[in-house]
Formats: sequence, C-alpha cells, structure tokens
Amino acid sequence: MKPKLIVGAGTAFLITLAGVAWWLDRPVANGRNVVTPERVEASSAVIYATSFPDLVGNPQSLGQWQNKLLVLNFWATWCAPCKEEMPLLAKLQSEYGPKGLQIVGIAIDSRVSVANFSVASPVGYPLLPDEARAIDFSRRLGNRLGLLPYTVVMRAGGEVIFTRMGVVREAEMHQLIRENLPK
Amino acid sequence: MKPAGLNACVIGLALLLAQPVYAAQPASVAPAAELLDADKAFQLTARLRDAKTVELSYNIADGYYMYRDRFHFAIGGKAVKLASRQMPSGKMKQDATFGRVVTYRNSVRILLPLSLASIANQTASPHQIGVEVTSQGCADVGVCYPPMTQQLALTVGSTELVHPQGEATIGSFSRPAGAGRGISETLKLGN
Repeated sequence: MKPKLIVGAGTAFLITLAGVAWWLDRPVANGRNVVTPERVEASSAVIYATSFPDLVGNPQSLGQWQNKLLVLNFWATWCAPCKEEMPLLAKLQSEYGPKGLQIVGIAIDSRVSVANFSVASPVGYPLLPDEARAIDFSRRLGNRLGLLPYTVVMRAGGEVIFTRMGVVREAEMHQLIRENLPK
Repeated sequence: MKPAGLNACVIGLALLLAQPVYAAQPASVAPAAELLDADKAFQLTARLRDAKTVELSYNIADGYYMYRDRFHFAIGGKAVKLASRQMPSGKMKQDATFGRVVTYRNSVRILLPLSLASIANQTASPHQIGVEVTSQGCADVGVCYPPMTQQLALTVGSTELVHPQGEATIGSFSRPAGAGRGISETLKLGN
C-alpha cells in the first residue's frame, strides 16, 4: 500500500472517530449532555445559611444537611424535563438516603402547585417551593440563565463537586454518589 | 501547504474534536451547551395593527418552543380574557409529562382586542397603551425557561413596531396578570 494512501486512510479514520466523539458528546433532546461549567459564587456558609419554606410554610435550613452528601435539584411543576428526572431522584434517595445522601427539591413554583404534585407523585425527599427566591439562588450556584432543571451536588461540609443544567444521567449519578458519600 | 503538513493539521483537529470522549469523567463538569437568554430565544415585538387591535409577534429561535396555554396578557393593567385573544392553532405535541399540549415554533402572531376601556385605565400618558406579556418556553436540549414577563408601550395612532422596555422579569403563573413590576415575587433576568 502506498504511504499516501495509508496517511489518507488514517486521516479518514481519525475524522470518523472525531465525528463519533462529537455525536456521543452533543447536547441531546433529553438534555443528558447539557452541563454548566459556570463558577459557583455562593460559599458553603451562604448555602448552608439559606432556608426555604416547606409545604406547610415552615423554613427549612439547608444547613441541617451539612453532614450529608447534598443534592439540590431546582425544578418546577410547569417544567416537563424536571418531572421526567424526578423518579430517578426518588430512587437515588431511597437507595442512598440511609448511607448519607440527601436530595432536596427546590421549586420555582407556588406552594399549592407543589403540594398537589407531591400528593400525586410522592418523591420521598423534601420539596421546598419558593417562587420569589429560588431562581436567584440557583444563579448564585452557577445557573446563569436560570434554566430548569438544574442540579448541584455538594459533599458533606459544602464543597460543590458537580452542577448540571438539564436532566441528570443515571449511571453518572450512581457513580458520583458512591464516590462521595460521607465516610 | 505540503500534504504532510495538511495531514498533520487534520490529525490534530481530529484529535482535538475526539478529546471529549476521553475527558468525560462521571463526577466532572463538561463543556456547556450554548443556550440563549430568554429574550433572545423568544424575541417579542408589538404594534397597533389598527385602532382596535394589538398585534404581538414572537420570533422563536431554532431549537426552542413556546407553550400556547402559558401566555398571559394584560392591557392597561387589565387581564385580557382568554376568549378574546386570537392565537394560532399551533402544533400539537404529545408530552410525556403534560399529555397533549400545543406549542409554537419559529414564529407566532397573536392578536389582542383593544377597547376604549383598556386605554382609559392607563394611569400614565393618555397617548400610551401599556401591554404586559407573560410567556414561557423551553429548548429542545431538555431545559425550560421560567415564566418571563415583558412590558411594551404602544402609542395611540401609531402602527410602529415596538420592542419590550427594560429588562424582562421573572414572575410566576400564580401572579395576577397586570400586577406590574416591582412586586416581591419578581426577579430580574440576566443578573
């Protein structure tokens, strides 16, 4: 085989590989590859000092979960992809909750809407509705455009190790959780 | 350029593009998709079509869509009744979560009736008609924008196209139409 032909074939192979790589990594319809790299502005102290009301209006401080691996999931009842990923989050809470995981759903929504949703589709983790402040808080956690769903994972103690704009990936979440549960 | 140099460039480019495969680690953060600000994804303009009709036009970016039943309108601080607005039939979408919903893509034109009463409600200039529009949409990549409320000021007797004034605000669907800016449940977009 001529050297020119070999180089050409090699180049074609690499271009194909690049195409496959792009295809695998592209933003897809279900949002699985949509991730934000934005810097998280809020310090762990600020995050843990923040409270949101629960479904009966009692303030719930995020600081009560500072010894847990904390997953903050920003969502709303009017957001279809948010509701799509909630069964997975409920499953993760059920499986890893006894081992130190705490998922918290912070809703950009009215208390009534979230309360109705929680009756129809119980998730097994706290749902905290706050139309007024939740979007702004998510922005301080790197959600620049205020899009939903948006998920932030914090190690016990407050280090933010992961953020995602769009639906979370199941395999990714399992591995992330297993590797970062409190010792 | 010599063939060898060209090949080196192509190989280098291919390796660069292939990089995300190797960089994808479960607990890491990958590059962000380029998503538009809400007011760029859903571009609103308005004009007085005639003395009795306000015409709203949305230019919707490719890969984005809006929900028909999530529009709310107020003219002169008064909510526009559902039955009186003229909206196109849109495209029926089978949504796994919401069932059958109507969405708009590319563009949508909405007509709102203008009554003397709604103009009389104005507290500002008698020549200005204040229109408040709340809308909500999503991107195909699987993310949704919060409800966005925009204000427009039309001039009586002018058919000139106008754009929303100031920054859009994020409100809520539970917020009464025509409540205006400055209530505690609104937050500014694009901080």
